[in-house]
Amino acid sequence: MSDRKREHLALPLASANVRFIGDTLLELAHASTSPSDTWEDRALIELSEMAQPIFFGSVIDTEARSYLGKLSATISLKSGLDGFFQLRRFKEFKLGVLLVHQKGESQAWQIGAGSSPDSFTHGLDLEKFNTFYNTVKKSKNGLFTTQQSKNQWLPFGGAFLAETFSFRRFNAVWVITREEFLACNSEEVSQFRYFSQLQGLWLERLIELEFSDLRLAEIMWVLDRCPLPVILQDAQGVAIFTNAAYPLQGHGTELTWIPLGKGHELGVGKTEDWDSTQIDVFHKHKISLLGDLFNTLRHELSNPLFGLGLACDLLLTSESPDDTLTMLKEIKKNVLRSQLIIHNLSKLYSEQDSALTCDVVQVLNEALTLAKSELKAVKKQQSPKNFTEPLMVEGRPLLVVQILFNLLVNSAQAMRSQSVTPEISIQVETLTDKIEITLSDNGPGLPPLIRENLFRPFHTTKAQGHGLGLALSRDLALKIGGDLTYLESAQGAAFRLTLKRVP
Amino acid sequence: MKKILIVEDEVLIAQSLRKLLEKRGHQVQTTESGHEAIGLIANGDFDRIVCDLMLQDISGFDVLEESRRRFTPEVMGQKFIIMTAYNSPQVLEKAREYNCEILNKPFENLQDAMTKIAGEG
Repeated sequence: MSDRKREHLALPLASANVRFIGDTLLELAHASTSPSDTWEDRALIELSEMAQPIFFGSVIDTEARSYLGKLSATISLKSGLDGFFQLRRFKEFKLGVLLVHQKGESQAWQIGAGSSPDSFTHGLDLEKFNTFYNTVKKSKNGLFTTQQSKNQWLPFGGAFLAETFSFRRFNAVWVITREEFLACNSEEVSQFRYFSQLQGLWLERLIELEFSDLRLAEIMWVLDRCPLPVILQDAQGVAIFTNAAYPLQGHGTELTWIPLGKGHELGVGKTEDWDSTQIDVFHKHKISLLGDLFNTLRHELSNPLFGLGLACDLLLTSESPDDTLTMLKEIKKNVLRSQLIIHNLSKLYSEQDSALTCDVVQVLNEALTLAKSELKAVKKQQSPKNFTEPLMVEGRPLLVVQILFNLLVNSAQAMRSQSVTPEISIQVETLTDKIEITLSDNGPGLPPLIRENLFRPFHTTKAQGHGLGLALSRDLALKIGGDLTYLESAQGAAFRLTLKRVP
Repeated sequence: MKKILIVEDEVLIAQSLRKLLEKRGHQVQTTESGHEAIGLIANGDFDRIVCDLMLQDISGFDVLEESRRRFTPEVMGQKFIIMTAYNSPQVLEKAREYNCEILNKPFENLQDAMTKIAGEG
């Protein structure tokens, strides 16, 4: 029998078995006043033994075990759903949506989860829910796409995987997507079904909790958007809820702990970090917006540019007058430059590229390419002129490029109306444990009053500025273990970016 | 001389590629539609097929999948080149599965790309 046929036969059987064990587990959970590891472990071993022959070798591995452990500990539906995306096998999936209908209610709900920055909970037309639920339930492989007209209302685009659940008081559909149009392969389909069924064992409890008090969901929603880091821990010190600001700010920030009873504690970040936290949230939104905008642009520009480049190549091989050839070479040069900008930006905004270190030489070149239009009439001096080897520093390339880009553009704008030729000098100095990049210009410099407030957020001397550039740049520099300082100089303005060298 | 089919919905790309390949002495046919490509492949005896991944109607892999049903899968895979600007891990994995080549857009080197398309390498 082919694997595909076996899969189709095995899945309904498996789901019935898993459901049975699930119910047993739930009963056990309800019966036991303090669920200990023992019953859970026993039940899991039992589950794993029963599931093993059915899923032909997909044993409950360590990763699955730890996920189930987290699911059983959390009280937040959203955290439970988010945990799904921490699983290595689903790391390419970006977004999940859980559609829930409480039987007898006139409205259904959709709850967003995953790495999307905007998690949400909002109402959903019951008719839409029912049609969707039935389509998914009847589907053989659970593979869909938003190109199909009946799925177009879903809050994302592309191919997706979906699985239905029928609980005592709720019907639900769990949907995950990579937000791209390439269909999922059969391995992903079977992994998704397997994990959704495991997830289903705890989903009912979490949905019950969430819907038992919609105000709780509301509070979670508000907490999630709180610009201060917030973390809720249980008696064992295991985090059961963290808000969106926590991964950004929580580590390294001193938290104030508030006991909540039953050993639970709520940790809240210090308020004196308010300014920088605010910048962080602002920055995160800006980056995510830029990323979206850039992806659209890349999509729209790549093909026409490629076509123009090829047409130039073709015309360059034909016999033409000299001036036409010169023009064609110029067009080709511009096409290549545009393609290089797109290429560099895709590297910066690519989520796969989560490098924590970068090469100073490379990021400097990228920042200069990006700021090329602003620096048009500016004379640039760089020392040393050439680098023999990469200079690796700590920090994501995107952040370092952004700091350098901000400084270059600031300088260029300050020198715009001066009579002497504008000049920027870039000096890179390699020390034992750090690298210093000094950018100085021959512009008007900064009056003493402004120097004092230089790094304060929302302080600006530009008519159209928002006053975040320098504050944000320094904040980013501090975050990656470096610093950004203003240097006193006889003429013009000078900034020094210090970055930690990678040993 | 090779008989080459170009499946690409951007006219400027398709026509430039056609002319560039014709200059190298190949016989080239183009189409903008994936569905039409399937028909052409079924009736024509192409040595090489260059197909864009994201066509207006179907994907490049759909064209390959459909053509594999009509011919020996291995032979079809060897003839096929998927052209794409998005070589994500999934695309690479699919190309391995079908045993076909991937050509990245934009080309790093025009001559190398031409050689690869004509299967002269």
